[in-house]
Amino acid sequence: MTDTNRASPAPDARSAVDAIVSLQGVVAADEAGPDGTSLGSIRGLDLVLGAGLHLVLGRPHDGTAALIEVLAGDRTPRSGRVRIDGRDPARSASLRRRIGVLGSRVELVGTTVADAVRAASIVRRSAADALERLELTYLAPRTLASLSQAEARAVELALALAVPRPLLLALFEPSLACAISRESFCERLRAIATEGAVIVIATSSPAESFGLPLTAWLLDGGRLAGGASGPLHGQGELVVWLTDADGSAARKLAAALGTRPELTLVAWQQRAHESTSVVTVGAPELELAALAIAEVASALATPIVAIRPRANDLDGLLATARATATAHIHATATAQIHAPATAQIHAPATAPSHASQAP
Amino acid sequence: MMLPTRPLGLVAFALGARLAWQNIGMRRLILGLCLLGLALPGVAPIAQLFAAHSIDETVGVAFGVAMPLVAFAVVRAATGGERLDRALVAITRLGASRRLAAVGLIACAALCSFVVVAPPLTAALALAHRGGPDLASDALRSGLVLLLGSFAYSTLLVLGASAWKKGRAAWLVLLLDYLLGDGATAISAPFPRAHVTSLGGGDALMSLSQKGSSVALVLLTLVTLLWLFSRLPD
Repeated sequence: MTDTNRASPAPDARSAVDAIVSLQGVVAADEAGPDGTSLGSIRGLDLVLGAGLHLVLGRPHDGTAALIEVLAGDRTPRSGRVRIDGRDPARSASLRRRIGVLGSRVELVGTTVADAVRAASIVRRSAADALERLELTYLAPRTLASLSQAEARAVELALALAVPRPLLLALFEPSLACAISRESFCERLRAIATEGAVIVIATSSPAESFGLPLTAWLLDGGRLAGGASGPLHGQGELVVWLTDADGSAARKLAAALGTRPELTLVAWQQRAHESTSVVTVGAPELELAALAIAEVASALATPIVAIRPRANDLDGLLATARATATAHIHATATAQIHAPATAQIHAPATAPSHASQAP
Repeated sequence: MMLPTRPLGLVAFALGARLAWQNIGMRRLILGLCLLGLALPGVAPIAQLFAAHSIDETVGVAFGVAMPLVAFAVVRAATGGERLDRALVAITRLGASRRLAAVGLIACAALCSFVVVAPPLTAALALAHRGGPDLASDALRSGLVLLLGSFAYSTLLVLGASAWKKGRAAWLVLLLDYLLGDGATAISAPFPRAHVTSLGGGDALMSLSQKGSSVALVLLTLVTLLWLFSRLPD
């Protein structure tokens, strides 16, 4: 089996330089469920984020919705401290004017989309052309009640992206706002990132990359998986199925793919009893990875049956993070019993929860 | 697109009122008006049977019963049945002041409550006095009482809506006002019902004059608003 891993040092959760967002021991539950019930909570979260894109991987019950609500300043957390540019977003209206939010529930004022934009533009002038920027003007005359969930989220996302001089964008599952073209969205994200804002995207899809350098964090049960060394470098994975009785085709394909710079991880596995092989490819850009696979497979005349993104990859990431955390705890315990040298052997030298690595 | 610069406090107030109006809606307002108009002829005899001994007292009791119920229904509609901070999220996420948006919501709810209770109760008053010489001044006085009462109740109920899941503390506020506000002793003084009933013609609270009760309603509204501000981060 070939496995090409290119590890890079991970930033520490508590030592980000030029931190804009900081959470200290934050305990908060979301109100994202039906009738305001809680879907999940964050439990004693410590996080420091500097400018750039941060992908928070996890499901609502892991606390992603709660994190976005706390960052948005929707309410003060049960305990702990949230600071954005040194101020509490729940207590500072002027700070909230510089935070763009797409929450778990659509929150718009007015009866039509044009009303909602007008209401937003009274507070934030830049919201007036929010729809134009993301090519959503066709939605303006529609009533809010007539919008699909995707369209309503697209309008809210457009308003969030129109925040003037943004300090923070806190977006919950932006890919659900699929009425917005991905290109326009990514372009706007890039523009905001270059202005020095923090962009926090809470998502359950590790395949999200947005064409920007990003730091990924894994939320598991309301805590950062892996503790202080929890950041992951996010990337997607593609799984390729081949008709391959002896594994030779998979081996050749993996070897050829291993030389491609756009790929960061190539692994293969033979399934003799099914006469198939599986090649797993990791890359920050899945579309480029798919093109690379098609190109190499065509050149080698490899009999590909299917290519698809790895489904529910979050489970894999969580499992890896939990296993690593257990190993880390084991190593710490061992260190307390045995000589320090043993601890150096067991303790992970770099971030323990790297399930996949970016270049 | 250039927009005129507006004071953000005023904007937050306007957005709060707008949100409340959006949630209440014209249809509900008209429905409430019709329901109260139909229910009032039934309320007055019941009030007279149990508590009141004169026409004025009957009207006073009707004020004390109808006003809080209407204000409660309107405030619940204005907040969309949510806790206050949750109801205001759409506005506060834009960067508007939470407190001023709440004041806008209260103002809209109070005016809507007034619009619902004033015509039927004033009509009831006119019928009770059978077109006496003081009808115009009585109607004006009643209107003022109902306006003060609407603001006092809306503020108190919005304060209730700021606590507990889905703002259910408003139910407790309504219950306490009904149980403790129905008296002429000091215990009733912090509740609007005692003053509204007194101003409507019911028993005077601790021999407080009509002017005194009006001032008490204004003070109650202000104190409740300050309490709400202390609970609600900006």
